[in-house]
Amino acid sequence: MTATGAPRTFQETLLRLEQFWSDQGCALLQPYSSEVGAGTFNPATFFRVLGPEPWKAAYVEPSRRPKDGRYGENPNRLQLFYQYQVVLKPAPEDVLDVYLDSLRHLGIDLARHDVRFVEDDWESPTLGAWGLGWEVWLDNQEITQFTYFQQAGGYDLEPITAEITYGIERIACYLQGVDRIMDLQWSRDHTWADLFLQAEIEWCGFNFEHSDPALLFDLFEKFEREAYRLFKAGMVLPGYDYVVKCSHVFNLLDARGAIGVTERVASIARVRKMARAAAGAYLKQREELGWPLLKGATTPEAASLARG
Amino acid sequence: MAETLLLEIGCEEIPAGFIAPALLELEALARDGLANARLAHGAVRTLGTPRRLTLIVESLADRQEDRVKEMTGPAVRVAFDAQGQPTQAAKGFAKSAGIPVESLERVTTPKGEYLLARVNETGAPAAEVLPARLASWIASLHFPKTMHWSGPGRFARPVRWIVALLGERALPVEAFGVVSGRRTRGHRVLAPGWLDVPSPAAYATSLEGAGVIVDPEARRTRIREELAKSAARLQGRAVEDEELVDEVANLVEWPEAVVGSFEARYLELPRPVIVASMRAHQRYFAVERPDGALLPNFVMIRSGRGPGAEEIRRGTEIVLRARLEDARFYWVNDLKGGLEGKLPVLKGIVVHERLGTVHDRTERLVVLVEDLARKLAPKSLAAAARAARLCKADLASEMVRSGKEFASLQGIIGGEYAAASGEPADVAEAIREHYRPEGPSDPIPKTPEGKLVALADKIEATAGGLRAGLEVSGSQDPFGLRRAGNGIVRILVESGWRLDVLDAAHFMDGIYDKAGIPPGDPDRFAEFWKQRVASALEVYGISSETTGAVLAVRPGDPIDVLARARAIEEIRKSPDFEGLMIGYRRTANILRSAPPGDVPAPGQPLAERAEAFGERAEADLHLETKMARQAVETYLKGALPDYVAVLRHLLGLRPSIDRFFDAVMVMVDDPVARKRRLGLLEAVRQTFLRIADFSLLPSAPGQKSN
Repeated sequence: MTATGAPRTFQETLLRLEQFWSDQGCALLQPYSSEVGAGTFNPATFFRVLGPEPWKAAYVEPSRRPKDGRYGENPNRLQLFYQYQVVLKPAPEDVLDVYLDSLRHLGIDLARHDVRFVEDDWESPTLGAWGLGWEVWLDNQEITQFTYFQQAGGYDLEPITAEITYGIERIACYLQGVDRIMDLQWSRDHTWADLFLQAEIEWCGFNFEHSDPALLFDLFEKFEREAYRLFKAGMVLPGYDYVVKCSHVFNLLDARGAIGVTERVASIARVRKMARAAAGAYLKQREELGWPLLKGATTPEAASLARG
Repeated sequence: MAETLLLEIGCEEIPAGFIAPALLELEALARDGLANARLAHGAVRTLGTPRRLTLIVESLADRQEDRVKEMTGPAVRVAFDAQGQPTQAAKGFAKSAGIPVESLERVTTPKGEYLLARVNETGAPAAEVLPARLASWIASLHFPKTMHWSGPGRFARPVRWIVALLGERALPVEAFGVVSGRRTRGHRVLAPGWLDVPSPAAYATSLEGAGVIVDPEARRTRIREELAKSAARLQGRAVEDEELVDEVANLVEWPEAVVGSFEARYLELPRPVIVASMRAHQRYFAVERPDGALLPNFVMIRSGRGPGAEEIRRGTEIVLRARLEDARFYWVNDLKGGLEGKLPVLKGIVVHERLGTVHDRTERLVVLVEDLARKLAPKSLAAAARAARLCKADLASEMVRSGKEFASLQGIIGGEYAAASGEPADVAEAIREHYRPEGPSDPIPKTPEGKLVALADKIEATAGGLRAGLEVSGSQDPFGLRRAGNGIVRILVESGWRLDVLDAAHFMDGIYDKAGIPPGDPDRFAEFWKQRVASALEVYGISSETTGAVLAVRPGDPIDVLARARAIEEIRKSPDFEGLMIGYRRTANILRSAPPGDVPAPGQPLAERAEAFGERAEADLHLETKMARQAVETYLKGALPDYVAVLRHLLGLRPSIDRFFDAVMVMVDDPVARKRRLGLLEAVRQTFLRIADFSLLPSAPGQKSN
């Protein structure tokens, strides 16, 4: 099925989202350069939701979930998929209306569909983050995760950020009327399978069979030590990179079935502790810098806070 | 003039399960708050959708009722000086009350005489006192989970607007930084943007014009009608599911049916699997033929109306197909090798580090179920044992292990796999129903085999869990032990099955010992069990004192405990009961104060030779006790003793007890006589103790025991 005026390719779908959120005043960023499980791990979300500074950004995030791969055989399950992540801080009052407008901009005639906000509590145990919000259903398909962030790195948040995470493959399948991600038209000349199927199969082979647990366990320890060493040296962002690496290494070990039940809980707690340290270091650093992004802020409270 | 009050709290989509409780709370807050504010009113009702919680109060008085307020001031002795003139204390009090000193009155209290001011308070206009109160009601609402969105306030989801009208007049109410007015919002897609509510009377119709049916009951009715209409077009009927109707009614603002279908080949799947695929995440309604067979169709309730049914149908069918395809994949794979083939996999699933694997548990269940069957339903032994062996095999199935909507079908799926693997119908059915009852309103298993396996499963889970130190305290019941305990009581009582559950737990301890599972605190199970029976007795309307008394004696068999409790409740109403208690207490008190060596241990035979008794009253009590004891023992041998009759025998002891205490000195110097008399009294006490610990009963119903 093709919705009227809908983008015909995956990349046009992305371009429309980019245009829409650019028009909303978001900084359009690029994916993070390290392996992450979700756009939330990108410093543009994890750090920017902390503290009083306003923030509006949007970006694509290639998200790696080693456990979810199925060698390209399951039509909906991938070890690497794309999220379109939007963060709005503070959450605007009409944020849900703006979100619905973004669907219209994608060519979805809402009057001809059923759109629903279904309760969903989001939590990331590794990031010490949680929020409340919804899964957005379009004709019963979950197309977006909408979250009002309440905590990150174990810190209560104020102001509150609205995080909108579009599942772009799902939306594109819907817009293009195909049932399998592999059949998505990526560009005019190529399908998803043309571009990524071999990589998907290979990565599944790595995640499930060929990764080296001994090396990964060793890396986890070393990355963890490095993260703390860097935080101590005041290197907040480089230190956080090693938290992200730890998290990914953990996901690889988990996919490999190399982590026992109790060990699993303990490892998650270790990453959460690092994430908390990162969040604390970031808050301290921004405060010392005088909350730079408050300077352009429009509200009088924000301006007075910026003046310190 | 009385007016109607309208309060609408406009929100982003509130979780469906939060809405009905919040509306109940809002109504209660309004009733209390209005009474408190001395505002007379007519009917109070609530309306609501995922985006609004609404309160309507009809015929609300336009002013508070006037009242006379009484304030107590300083003591009279400090209020007047020696000349009888008012002191500064009296003047200050009069001033603060706003009346002249001469108007002060006096009131006598236990602490002495005090000044009293009676102040006439004129009621304020409703429009003045309401805004602050409405704001406080909004802020007082509770939800299972709340969030911040801006500022310090918490609510289920962000509050975006408030409508507050008293008649046609808008009231200024401020909550969460939102200032009220008459602006509301309609359906997100059908009527985006704001709309004005002219008056409370026009509220529902204004919203209806904007694509919102604001009355939850009207939405439920409409959903039922839409279901009936759609099913009729398919020559079938919607499978009844009121719980789903309730949930869907709170997911949509304007319910309208969309009918979809799936490929008929999926009908090979067991019905519970198909229904779960539709229901769990999708909230579709299943449709069946008049003969009860499922049709390859479903009804989905959309939120909205107008065009698009075709697009929605296609989308909803794609989602369902993916789920059914998952289910079919599991079903086909799981059936390879049959249900029995799954048993070895259970060796890899750990129940608890101390309790071993599910496979170990299964072995124990078989032993226990055989023991139970011999006592309770010997004819069902073979089928129940077979069912016990297979009842956990579905935990190794992909269907259950997927963790998807089918995981909640454990047991039911096992029954389906058993039937498809060629197991006899009674075995399959026992597996299907062995998790029952899953809650207070869930029925117990119907078949004797199902009951046996369900009992064994729950006894093993609780005995093993408590031995391993699992937690039962707190409100969460994290391991479901309390629910299992309640299930044991219900299965036994509702089946009329007599079983001493403490014996069964003891039997399990023997098995655990043999398996080398370390022993736990030996008293934990008995304590846990008494609590479960106590909570069941509460449901059966037994008073807590009676429950305590009967559970102090032989608490293992819930039917027996219940029968004793009912008899005691009955006898406590009788005028003789007080006398019985006095006799019992005198007996117990003297025994308590006697030197320990003088009282024979329980179970010692009563001295036989009546001629040895020095006093007539002693010989009488001896004879009466002996007869009462024989009668009680005869009764106790019966299948279910007539405990009222037993208690009447005990009541009959009263005159002899009284005469004994009047005529006989117990604590005499002669050790032979003293010990003999104490022995007699102990025999009396032991006879009482066969029924209950009477010392735990208050002397008359409603009075406190000492």
